[in-house]
Amino acid sequence: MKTLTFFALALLVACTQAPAQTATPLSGLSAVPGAAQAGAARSGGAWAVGTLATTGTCEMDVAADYTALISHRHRAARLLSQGRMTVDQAVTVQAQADSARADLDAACPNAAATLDATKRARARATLKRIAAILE
Amino acid sequence: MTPEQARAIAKLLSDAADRADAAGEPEVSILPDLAALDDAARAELDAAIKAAADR
Repeated sequence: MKTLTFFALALLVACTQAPAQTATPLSGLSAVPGAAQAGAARSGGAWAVGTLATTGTCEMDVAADYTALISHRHRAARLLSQGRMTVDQAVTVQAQADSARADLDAACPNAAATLDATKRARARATLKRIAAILE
Repeated sequence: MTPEQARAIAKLLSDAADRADAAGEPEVSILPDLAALDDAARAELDAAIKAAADR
């Protein structure tokens, strides 16, 4: 919470002193997971920097991938219930989702771990294959 | 990241921050919440598969 509070205060100061200069850092906050959770705002000659995640953690790097995984499973269940997907397809989605989950868990086993980018890339490739089945 | 994903993550962060505040914890982690949500989604799909197979 300290980092969030600091970030909010930094933005508030920047907005009151130089509102036009804060547009770019703010727009980058939700555009890219991981790297873009950090934002910088310049006011006059001073720099203020805030971040949504503690430096060095990996969970924000995989959070969007987890939500995609969850969304894919929900969507597959809905399509199957509506008769718009076969049981075989749903079983395939479930198996591939399990594989993606294992890779995501390994990519970031805890908040203090360093991201394993290779495992995350493998999870993302699997998530793409699932998305193709759901289309 | 889609807007829906961003909102979901924001809610997870907010809920985790509330819990951390209540427990006096200095750090927040959303990994357990993400894992629990996926476990629930997996169970939902599993139930849908079983129901469809029985039809």
